[in-house]
Amino acid sequence: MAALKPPAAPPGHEAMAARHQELTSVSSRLAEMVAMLRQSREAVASRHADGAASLTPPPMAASGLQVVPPSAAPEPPRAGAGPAQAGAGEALLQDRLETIEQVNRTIRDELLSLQGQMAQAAALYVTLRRLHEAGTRVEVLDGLQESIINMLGSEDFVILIAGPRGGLAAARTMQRSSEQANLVASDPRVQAAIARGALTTGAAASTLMPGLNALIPLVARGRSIGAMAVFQLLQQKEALGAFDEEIMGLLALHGALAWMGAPEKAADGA
Amino acid sequence: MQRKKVLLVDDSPTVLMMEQMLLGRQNYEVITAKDGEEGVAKAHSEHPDLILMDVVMPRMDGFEAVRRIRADDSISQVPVIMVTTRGETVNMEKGYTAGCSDYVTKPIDARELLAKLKSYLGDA
Repeated sequence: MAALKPPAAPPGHEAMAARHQELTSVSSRLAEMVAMLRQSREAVASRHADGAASLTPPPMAASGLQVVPPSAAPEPPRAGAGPAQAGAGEALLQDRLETIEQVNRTIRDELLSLQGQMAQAAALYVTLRRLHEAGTRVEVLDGLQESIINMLGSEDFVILIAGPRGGLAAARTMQRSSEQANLVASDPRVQAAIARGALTTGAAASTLMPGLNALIPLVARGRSIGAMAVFQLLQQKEALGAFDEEIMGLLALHGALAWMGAPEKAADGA
Repeated sequence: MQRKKVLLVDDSPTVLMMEQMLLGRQNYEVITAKDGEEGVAKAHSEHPDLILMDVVMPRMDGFEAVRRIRADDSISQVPVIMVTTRGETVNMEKGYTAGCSDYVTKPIDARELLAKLKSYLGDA
């Protein structure tokens, strides 16, 4: 197995990471402002209750953020103002608090979405890198196997590879006996789907063979070198989604390319 | 501020690479080990702030590695999050009995993983 080197960032990842850091920082500053505004509001409420309307404006400027433009709302009442002005001040602080909380929610949503995109970019990059840094065909199979488990979320699969005379044989299986794997390899509907070279998932896959979740032909340069038949998904993985299809597309093409580029000698060991 | 150190223990290069990418970008210092035995040794020598531990590994599985970490006074307090393919209750109970602090399931959900890390380590 090739030695694991620290992964470099995929294209575009640096920009996403920088944006992520920026949003994290803004989100945390907004959280501080919300806490400060809450304190101010409590102080106003307390003074209002005591009849002493001595107020301090919220320390918005300290955060460096201008969420509510100064012209958009009147300043809270100053020290010595009456109870009515104190009430207006409390309403103003409440309004600012809600605005900032809304902004914070929006930023948090953007942050989560960005984290998801970064994770997907990382998954695609790792999948490709694992396949193309494989030095032997056994390592290509290792990479495909690990991608099925860790990216697609299944430990029930068969990897089929075409022999020199064209027949399919199981090169790797998990949770399937060799008899079950041979049934997959010899099934005429499965063979026809592999020959078509198109990814088959969901209901279409289960019509090929009961329990089959995805059939991923390994095809490159017009040549099919085999396929991956993915059966039951892990308990916590509900279904294969759009992003899984992207992963499967990469595995189909780059799995085949990596296999073709790997030394023949190791194929005997596979 | 000193970066928090996270030890990743997994026999799968794919998982290690993926976790390294996710955590490295979050400003954590990342160190790796390929099995439970190496994981225990690195926990001892590197004193990480948190360990992400796979369950099924050669030489020593994740449960045994956690038991050894908990039995060693110098590292017994470090939070250990198990990374498992099986989300069944019985598997989780085995992990908690061994002494793990929490768990995440494969395929790894980056947002869930980062949220758990943040809850144990605070902001990166």
